[in-house]
Amino acid sequence: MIRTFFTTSALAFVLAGTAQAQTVLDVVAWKGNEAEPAGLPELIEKFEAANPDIDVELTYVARKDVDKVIPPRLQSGNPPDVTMVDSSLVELWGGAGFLKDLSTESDWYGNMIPAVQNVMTTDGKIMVFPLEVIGMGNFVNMDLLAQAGIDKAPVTIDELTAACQALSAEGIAPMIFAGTFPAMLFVGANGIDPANNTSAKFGMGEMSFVEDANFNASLDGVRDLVAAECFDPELQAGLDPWATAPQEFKSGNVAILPQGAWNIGGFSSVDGLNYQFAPMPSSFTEYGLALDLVGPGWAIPTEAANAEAARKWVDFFAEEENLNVFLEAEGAYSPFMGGKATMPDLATPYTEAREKGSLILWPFSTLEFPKPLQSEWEDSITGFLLDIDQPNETTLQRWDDTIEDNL
Amino acid sequence: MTSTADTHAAASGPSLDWDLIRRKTKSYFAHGLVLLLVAIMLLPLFYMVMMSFKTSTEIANDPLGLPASLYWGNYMEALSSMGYARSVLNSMGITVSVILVVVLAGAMAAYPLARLQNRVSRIIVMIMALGLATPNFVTITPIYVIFRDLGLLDSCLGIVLAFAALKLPLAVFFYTGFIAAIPVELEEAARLDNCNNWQVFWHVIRPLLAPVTATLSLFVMIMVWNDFIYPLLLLTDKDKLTVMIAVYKFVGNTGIDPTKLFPAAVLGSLPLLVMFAVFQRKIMAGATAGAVK
Repeated sequence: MIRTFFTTSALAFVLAGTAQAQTVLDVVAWKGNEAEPAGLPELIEKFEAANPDIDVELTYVARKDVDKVIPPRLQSGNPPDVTMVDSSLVELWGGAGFLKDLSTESDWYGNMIPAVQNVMTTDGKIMVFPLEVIGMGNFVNMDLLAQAGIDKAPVTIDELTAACQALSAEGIAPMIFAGTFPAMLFVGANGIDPANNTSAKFGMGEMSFVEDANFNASLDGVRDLVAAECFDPELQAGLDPWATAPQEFKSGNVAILPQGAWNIGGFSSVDGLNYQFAPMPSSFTEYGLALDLVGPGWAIPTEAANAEAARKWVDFFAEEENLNVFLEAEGAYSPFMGGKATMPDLATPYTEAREKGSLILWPFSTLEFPKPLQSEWEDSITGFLLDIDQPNETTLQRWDDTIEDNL
Repeated sequence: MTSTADTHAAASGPSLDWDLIRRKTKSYFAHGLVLLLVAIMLLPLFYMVMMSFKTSTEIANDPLGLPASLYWGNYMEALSSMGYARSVLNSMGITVSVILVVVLAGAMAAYPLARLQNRVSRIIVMIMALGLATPNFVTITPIYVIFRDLGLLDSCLGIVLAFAALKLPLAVFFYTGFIAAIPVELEEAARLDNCNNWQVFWHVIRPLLAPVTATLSLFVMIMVWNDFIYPLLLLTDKDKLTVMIAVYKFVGNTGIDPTKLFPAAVLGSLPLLVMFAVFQRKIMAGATAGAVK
């Protein structure tokens, strides 16, 4: 009886000791939930199998709520072990000393695409492991285009206006141009010359939007699209770009939708939706302009309780086969050079434009444009759509004023 | 004589009561208008429920159409990944606890504030009113730091206290106005019967607060049930998460999947509707109390 008691007690202590040795890795991310799994459930399972002493607790916090939920944890010295960040959070939190330097000596650092490396490196420190570069361009319903006698996704302005006229003649709604995000993509792609990218100069107030011929021509280009019956500007001004617009495209009610490649998964799940992901038609290039967004990455807070396990998590994603799971689920490109292509065939037009060098990094994701300018773009372009005949200066001056306020 | 009038009436047939017709027409019109307004208000709810029963193909082909049949697969999927029963129990436990604390503490704080007519009490009421206008982001960091120091992070007690503290100004504001309208003579009568302050509050004032308590409870219930920022911040244990956090997982950063979000939203708001239905009579009585005297 006594022997049984001691044996049981000893076993209980051993089990308790084992349980205590288990590390719970607290990971916060705006992906990995039901809406955007991004392959994380599968990757967590694989990580835990490779590291049996670590349990991953993934907490989903939407990007718009991260600014409310994570700062109190960082400020109080009780941060998550790993947190998802984007370039603006790296600048803000890294600048305040809340993020660890992952070291430029890391194996993966030298393999980063130079442009991404430049964006993510601050004062010789790399505080984020980048996960993706994701494209933004036009989703094109090829069946609707075929009904109008067109068999190629438009990549030049001329092709786009011709497609709009042909679609309109067939009674098909040619294009969504919602005042916020979709319209911004067109205006940006026709205002920023990839051969002479001056985004940083605008951001530093060295160049003025009002005086810039390209951005003036870009707004004129919007008027040309209206004239070509691509869309009704007043209707588009009030359209929700995140819920209604993708739903309209999925429903086959519209032929062209400017959006991000993160929709590829959702669109591909619709039976019978035959579409391509193409670069944004731009007056600067005959290939269309690929708009690459520097996506999120992993960062380890300075006061992370389980820094060693957190580093294992980052190193796990640095392995190409693991990162590819994430990239395939996201419909994104690797932020590292070389490696296996993960984009589906339907994105070939976009990939071809990238390969031809017809590409810019979206200046809001590289922080060349200050963050407040993004909401100003959204508001002012919506205003422009509501009164398309207003002088360009009315819109462009608001951008210059915002830059000046944020210098 | 009588026979003359009767004969005349009979000759002209059954007379029309125009007043009655006018009243009935007005009544039908008013009822019709109200029903129309109710239908418009219920339209988003109807849309949410309708979408929750459609397959993704149906939604893609005809977003506004009715479902061909009730497809329960969306609900099965939502239920399997929500941890529904547990999260509903957590939400109910937290909501009911917060209501109890807020109602009791709010009424007790409001009673002296309503009765003491001096500058201090007026200043305290004003400070409480300021608490109503304080935005979330101002309080969120101090609450987190204090709760970390008190060891209240990731505990149900912590989240109840946080919500109670945040909703207390509303309760004090509600009760102060209501108690001020209660005749002092009622208290004086109780004091003649040797009641002390506590007994006056408990036996005289508290029973009179029932209607306003019901209304306040409804406000607090909706606010606490739907809040996900504080549970997201203060709770990390998956077993303690609330139902709105479970629904929140279905909201994307760059779009929504209606086949997942809508059934989750229906499931998330269902217990609240049930609670409202159960307490409806009291709540309505509270909302209309004082409207007619």
